[in-house]
Amino acid sequence: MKTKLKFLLIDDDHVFNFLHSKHIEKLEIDHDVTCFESPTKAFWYLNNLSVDSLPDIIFLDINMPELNGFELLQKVIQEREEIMNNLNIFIVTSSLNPTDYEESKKYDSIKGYYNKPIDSEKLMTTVNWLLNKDLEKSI
Amino acid sequence: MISRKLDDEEGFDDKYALLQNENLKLQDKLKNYNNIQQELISANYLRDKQLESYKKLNFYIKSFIQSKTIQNFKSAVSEAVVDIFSAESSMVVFVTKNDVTIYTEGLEKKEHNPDNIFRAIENITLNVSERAPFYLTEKHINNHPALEKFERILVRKFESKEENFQFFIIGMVSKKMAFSFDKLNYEGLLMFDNFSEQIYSILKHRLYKENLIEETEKYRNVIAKLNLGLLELDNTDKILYADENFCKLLGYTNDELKGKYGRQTLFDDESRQAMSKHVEGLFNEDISFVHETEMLTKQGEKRNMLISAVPNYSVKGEIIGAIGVHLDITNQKNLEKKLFLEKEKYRSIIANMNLGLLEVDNYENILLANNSFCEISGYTEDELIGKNAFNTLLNDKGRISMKKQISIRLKKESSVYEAEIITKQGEKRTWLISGAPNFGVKGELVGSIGIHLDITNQKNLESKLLNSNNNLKKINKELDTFVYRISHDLRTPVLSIMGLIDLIQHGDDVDMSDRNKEYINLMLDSTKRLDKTIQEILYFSRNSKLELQIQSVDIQKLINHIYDDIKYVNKRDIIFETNFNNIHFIDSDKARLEIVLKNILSNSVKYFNPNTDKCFVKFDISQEKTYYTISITDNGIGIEKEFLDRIFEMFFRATNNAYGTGLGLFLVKETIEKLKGRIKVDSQINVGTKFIITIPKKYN
Repeated sequence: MKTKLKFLLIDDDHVFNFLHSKHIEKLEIDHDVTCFESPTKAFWYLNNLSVDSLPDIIFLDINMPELNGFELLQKVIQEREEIMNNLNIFIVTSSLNPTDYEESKKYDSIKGYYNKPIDSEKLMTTVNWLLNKDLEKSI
Repeated sequence: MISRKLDDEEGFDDKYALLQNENLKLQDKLKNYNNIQQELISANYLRDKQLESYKKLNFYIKSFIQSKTIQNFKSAVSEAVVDIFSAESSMVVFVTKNDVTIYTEGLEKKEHNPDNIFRAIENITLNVSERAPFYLTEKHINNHPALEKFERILVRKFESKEENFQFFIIGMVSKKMAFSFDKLNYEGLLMFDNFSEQIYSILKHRLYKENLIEETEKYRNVIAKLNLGLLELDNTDKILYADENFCKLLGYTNDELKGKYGRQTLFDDESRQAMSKHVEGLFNEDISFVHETEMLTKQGEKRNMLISAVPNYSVKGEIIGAIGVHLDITNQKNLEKKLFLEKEKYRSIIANMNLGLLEVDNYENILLANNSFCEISGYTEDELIGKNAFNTLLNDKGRISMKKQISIRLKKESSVYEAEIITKQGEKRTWLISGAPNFGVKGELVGSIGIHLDITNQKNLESKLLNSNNNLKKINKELDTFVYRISHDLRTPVLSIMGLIDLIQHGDDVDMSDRNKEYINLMLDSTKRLDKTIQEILYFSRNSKLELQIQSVDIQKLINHIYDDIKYVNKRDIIFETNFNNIHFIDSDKARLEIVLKNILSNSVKYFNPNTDKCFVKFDISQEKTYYTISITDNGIGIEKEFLDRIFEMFFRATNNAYGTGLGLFLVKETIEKLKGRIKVDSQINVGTKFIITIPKKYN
């Protein structure tokens, strides 16, 4: 089991990145949070990471300027398909459009779909899911 | 296909086929019948000519016989030769003990030296045509195998006692003839070569009687075999002979008819009149005829007959009667009549139906086109008949798709399809065509029949409609996206405000004054209401545009799920009762049903009566034959009577509760309408409220 949980938050609204970071802080676990307001920059960040240093959890907004959440994922698939299996992505959106939900089901790496904002409870569930998953793996 | 449906005249095709078959038979019969008639006529003609020749020959032969001296005989022969034989390129050889005279092609040659006689004959005969010589003896004259080559042989012996001379006249009818003599046993020999009709006539005359009997038998047999009725009359119209067929046709026996007068017995007044004209013409003016008439059977029944009659001549060439051949065409006539009526009916249906009808053969050649077809194609009937439909009415593109249809037709299958047709004016039109294979008498494919409807205008309208529909769809989709975008963009700051408020409320900072805490709470309520409004406007927009999506809905699960969501709206304990009446699954639009039930149920929970001990909300569903009835009852604060009519209005709010958007019940009503259901409300202040909803069980 990893000692430090790495979060990557991608949302063009910095308030949400701030809110989510705050909630993560309150979890009282060893963590590391990286935030991007620009999806393009987030892509370059991901593109340059080695497989070992990938984030454990990604919160990804859908409606963003430059690239929307799915376009960003497409770019990752194009450039670095091999890391897709190692990503745990959670869509965090204020969209009520059911087509967005349907679209997100097409990606194996998308593990959850949340409506904004994420509160402490949802965050706990997410982290627990990840820890359990890693536990299963280590067994 | 349509052609089959079209004839309400049942079995029309069958009858048509039957008739065609009968017609074929009839045509066959008629053909034979005509042949026989032709034969009879030519036999008669021949008889005429024979008679003439006979008379002439008779005259000469008489003069031969009456010759007292050989000199007389010779001159008679040479006269005969000049008169009748020379013109026919025939040859006459006149032989005596002393010389041979050969008459050929109008020339006379004499040979006195017997040695030269044979050579001379040989030369001449060889010159006349390719003739193989053969030898003739007295015995041979009557019975020589070589003579079998000849159709007719005539031998006549003339003897003159006074001058002691004998002649044999040998007539041979053949294209090939040659002769020679090994012995001259006769005083003289007269031979005719290739005399064709003249000699034939002599022969005929001699054989006339036996020949006539034979010939008569022959044609009677032929006629009997053909199932034609034969009747022979004398020139007073008295019946001499009626064959078996004829008797059968009219129900008489030969004996019953013999001696009766034909016209008197076998016709009614009307038919007799027309018949008499023909018969008199035949007797008086020697005119053969073919006549269609009605004849009476013995029982007085009318039969349709086709009669062909020729005169019957005596040996002398006088008209001694008539021979009539009768064909019963009653069945064909009846069938024809019937078919004509049915065809008329069929035609008038086709003409009046405003659908173009086209009949083509297996090579797409047009056999029939009705008025409507001409109208829609722009061609006249004359311009269409015989033309190739495939080449005339289609362009290259149309031909390619028509080939497919033709191949379907070759499999003897019908089909309905649309095709692009080029009219005479070169205009492109769209037709709806129903094509069916057309079968012949024996069930073989003989072509196809198509019903054509010009649907160009409909097609244009349709494509316009399709276009505007597509446009509308596009606009709708854009609008949908737009609404989502707006709602998203409006919600995002609202949600971030809510997140921040949550952070303040659950933060570490405990130094906040109670008043500020209260303000923060109010802020959160307003923000939540704003979010709710945005969501409801979004829902409203979608409800009006999206089609129903009917699926099987687990109503029990849905209700429990909704209640789980809303039970925490306030802190008061509320008793929730459900009565499903064993209804588990219903066919409905789940999302819409959820909106309706959630709104009403949450109202019931929200507006509980604080003065009541036991607050309850009851859900009840029951079913009738075609609809479900859902009722939601509470013992809440109730709705003022004056407001009851207005609660479904947009933005109407009966209380100034912080949660209300004024959209909830409006959306409920709109959604119920979309679900083709109804909603009713009953309420009493401080007693409670009851909503009754009915929704259909089935959606088509």
